[in-house]
Amino acid sequence: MLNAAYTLYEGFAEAQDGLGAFRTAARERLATTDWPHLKTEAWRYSDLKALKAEAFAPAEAADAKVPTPLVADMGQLVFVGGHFRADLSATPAFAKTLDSTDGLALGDDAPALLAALFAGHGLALDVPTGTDGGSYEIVHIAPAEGRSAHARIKVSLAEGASLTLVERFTGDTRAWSNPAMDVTVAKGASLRHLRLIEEGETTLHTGRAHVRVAGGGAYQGFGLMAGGSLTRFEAHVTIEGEEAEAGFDGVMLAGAHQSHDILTHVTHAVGGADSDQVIRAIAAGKGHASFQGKVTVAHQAQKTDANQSFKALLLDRTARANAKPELEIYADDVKCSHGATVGELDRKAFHYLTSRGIDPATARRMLVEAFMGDALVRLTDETLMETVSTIIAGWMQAHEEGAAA
Amino acid sequence: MSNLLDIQNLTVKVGDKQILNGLTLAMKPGEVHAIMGPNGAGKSTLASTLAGREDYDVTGGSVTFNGEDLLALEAHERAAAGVFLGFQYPVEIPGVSNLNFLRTALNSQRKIRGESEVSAAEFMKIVKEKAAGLKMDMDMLKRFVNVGFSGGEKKRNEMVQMAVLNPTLAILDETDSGLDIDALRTVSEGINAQRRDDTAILLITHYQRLLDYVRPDVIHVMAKGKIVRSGGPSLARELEERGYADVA
Ligand SMILES: Nc1ncnc2c1ncn2[C@@H]1O[C@H](COP(=O)(O)OP(=O)(O)OP(=O)(O)O)[C@@H](O)[C@H]1O
Ligand SMILES: [Mg+2]
Repeated sequence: MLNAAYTLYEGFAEAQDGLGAFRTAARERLATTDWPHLKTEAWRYSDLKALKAEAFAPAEAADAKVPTPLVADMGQLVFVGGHFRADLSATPAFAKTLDSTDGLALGDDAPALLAALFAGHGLALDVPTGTDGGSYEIVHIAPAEGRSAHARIKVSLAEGASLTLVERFTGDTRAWSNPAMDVTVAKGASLRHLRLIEEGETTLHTGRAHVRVAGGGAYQGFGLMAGGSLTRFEAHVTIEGEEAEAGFDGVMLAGAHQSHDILTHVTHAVGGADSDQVIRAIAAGKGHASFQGKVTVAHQAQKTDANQSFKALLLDRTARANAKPELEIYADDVKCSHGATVGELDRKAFHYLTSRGIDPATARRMLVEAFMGDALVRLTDETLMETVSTIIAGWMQAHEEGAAA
Repeated sequence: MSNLLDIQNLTVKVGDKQILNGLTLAMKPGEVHAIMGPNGAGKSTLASTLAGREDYDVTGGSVTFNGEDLLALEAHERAAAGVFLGFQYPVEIPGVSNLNFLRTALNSQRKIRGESEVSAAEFMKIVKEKAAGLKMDMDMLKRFVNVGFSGGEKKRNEMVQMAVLNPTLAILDETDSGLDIDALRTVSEGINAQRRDDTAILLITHYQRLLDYVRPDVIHVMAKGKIVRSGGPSLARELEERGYADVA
């Protein structure tokens, strides 16, 4: 048996919601798929033993207190334990219950297949041609202790449409969040997608997004990993048209015993498009941050411009960071760059600040914030930057003791 | 009048190496002293030790500042007490703007001294005035600390910081090195503006030229980690002509 949760499939199999074939396909593939372990290349930095051993049964519908939006006046779309709750949401006209498997990625590892197996009660956002869908906050409230949530969201932006989504994961239970998002960005459309993990430090989180971007379209993803005990996010982005722009940026804050892991795979299927990734990680205490970034440039994808930058800052000797950049380039006329560094706080800069009268804690905070700056500026929007900065400041305060200079 | 700074028999180790070997030096308020001496004599080590660099190990001697044991204070407390070090090699800090840095420093010092913080508007007024005096473009101050600054611009930036923070004791480590002729004059004017009855300035320099603009009361020659000779302003000329061979 793969995972104890697998046995609870029966209830989902019967749901008449148009996703039956998808779940059946997931079940069939699960039968021949092993649970990932540390020797599985894509999972070498995240240890899923706990998930395999414990029966995190899918959560049933439950009530929950909805937190106030991070950005005042931003409409909320609420999930509780992986179930979309229209009754708690300010649902726009372009939103409806997910009832078709079109454009849903099955995935190929066990956690992704389980997300497919338990897909249901999901949300579809279809922004029509030329429409600005505005900004929405998607709140995921973690399920009860010992339960799992498999929120499924499909986002389709038609030609020239635009949308901003601030997805946040909250709650403070030892539960398993296993969400999946499927995104299609049509010609000239533009999606900004923030993913903020603020769950408690016992929550397990494995999430993924599959994104396809057409010519002239833009997908700009940003992940903040502040909470969670084991947090993993995958962004699989495929560029399918010229002059498209795609990127996934992020900040990982791994303190105490937290383990954060971002995996990105950007595929340039067509040339003349840009991709950029700027990821910064802070690890303190026994925290562990890792980044695996793969860029594939197809044979015909000439004039591709792909850049990737990962930097980690270790605040304690016990903290760890790993980076595994990977370039797979089949075209010959491309500009691809990647850089990965792991370092400690710059003692000279620290001394310069303190010798001007800045106390050590503030000096450390200034340097840490400056270090994350390259990633934060990629949000371009002041309000979003402030929102993310506030969560970062909260994490830093909570982890101050783990970062003694 | 009592001494503002009193260094007695100071010995300092950096790593396994003894760099300062019983250095003694005293300054009264209102005085300007210059330290000259060959490369590697320990001049910057002395400056960094006074500023409170953590990795420098004071193995003996004492430093009294304003009647207080300076060595008992942490680096930021020394700054708040009125000690300023103009770095020989100012540090680049990507991601931190000069203005944010300077305002945080000023308010942090004021807080330690129990004074109220200056508002953003008051701060900008002070900075604009001091930057203009040192012919430093405000746009440069909006940039990250020293990042992409030329050698001379970094030194001038140190002087803007000094002017804004208004220390009682300014230790200026080769602030004149790397400055063009006009910049040297501007910076010298900045130093002279900081010269008051209640302040003291310790210049570390290799060149007579700075001392023509900022006239010191006393010149010390430092070699092998201690002061080997002290004298009046004429000592600089003598050294310029004869080198350190006789003294060091
Ligand atoms: N971290 C260190 N480890 C070992 N030796 C050091 C270290 N830092 C400085 N020194 C040595 O201490 C001595 C004094 O250096 P210092 O920088 O104080 O000299 P200085 O008088 O300022 O010289 P200059 O005129 O060239 O600026 C030098 O020999 C230098 O190599
Ligand atoms: Mg020196």
